[in-house]
Amino acid sequence: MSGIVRCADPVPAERLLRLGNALRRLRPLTLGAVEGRITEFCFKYQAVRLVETHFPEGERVNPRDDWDDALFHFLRMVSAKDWFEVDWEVLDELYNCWLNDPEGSYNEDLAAYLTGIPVKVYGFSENDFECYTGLRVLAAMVNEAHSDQVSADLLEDLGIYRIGAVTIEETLERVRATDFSGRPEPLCWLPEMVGIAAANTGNVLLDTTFEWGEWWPEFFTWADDLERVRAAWLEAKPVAAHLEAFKEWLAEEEEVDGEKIRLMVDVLLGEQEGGDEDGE
Amino acid sequence: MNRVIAALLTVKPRQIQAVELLHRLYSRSTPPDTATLLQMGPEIEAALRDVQALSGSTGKVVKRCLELSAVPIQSPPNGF
Repeated sequence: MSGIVRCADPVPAERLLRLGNALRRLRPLTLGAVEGRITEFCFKYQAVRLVETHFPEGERVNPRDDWDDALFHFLRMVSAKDWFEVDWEVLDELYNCWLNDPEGSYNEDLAAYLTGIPVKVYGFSENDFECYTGLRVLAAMVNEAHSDQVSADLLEDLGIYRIGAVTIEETLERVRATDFSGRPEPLCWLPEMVGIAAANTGNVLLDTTFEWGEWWPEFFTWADDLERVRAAWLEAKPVAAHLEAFKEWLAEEEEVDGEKIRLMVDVLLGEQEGGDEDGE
Repeated sequence: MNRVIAALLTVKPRQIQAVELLHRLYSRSTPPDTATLLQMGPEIEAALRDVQALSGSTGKVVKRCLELSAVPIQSPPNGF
């Protein structure tokens, strides 16, 4: 550079201006910028590798796509094959956070699903408990870890008075010994709901809970857990559908007086006529 | 000469694998296709690890420099 501007060899102004224009387009290269660019390529490589490994005969990734397009392309193929239920809600949330804060680390949070499996899990979460009072009552009846989900005031408001008189073990034993199949939907699925609430179904998707801030994407990984997750989904799929129907049933009266919650409790405790819940 | 500057001047220039790799990736007329990307994948991952390690080391140097106490210098640069 010093050779261009030395005084003994004046450079024509026109040439200097051209040089100045070129320099204005240049930026210093920071290590952070290099890391950012190479990270993008690395993420894209990992997304392409997922597609090529699991769907070698499937639709190729468009070379012009970004890594997140490639990841979603892969997950759409996973959904189409019904390997498991993709947790689009979590992915959408992370994606929107990334869009709203491009300089943050949300791209890395989303990219963690290049390693981890974004599978939807069905254990009752704090969000479920906030949305469905019935699930709080159910969980408190059958799971020691959730026994603080209901207060005496709430039970009184709902008109439920007998829960405290029955232990969790007694309730679980009673559910095990009872045939609910004669009950109308969704009460016929109560044993499944109790299993989820107690986290003792033996199915990893039904017994696992997602909580924001406590979940890590690598809980299940593409490399180590895919077959286990697919096998678990085969069992969990009908139960997951029952759970959704059960939630809808509960939601129908969330703002009412708890009639359905009382019905659920009565059926679980064997106090409701009209069924053969005693299994005798 | 300031000891810190003297120490920094002894650092030899280092080739950054990621820079050379990025130059190759961006000098193409089209983005790399999937086959090329898969072929270059291990190299990309190695370059990322390298630049992350370098970034970490650089961060440590900067942090330690920022913690240094200010000392007067014998010959201030022109303009001061």
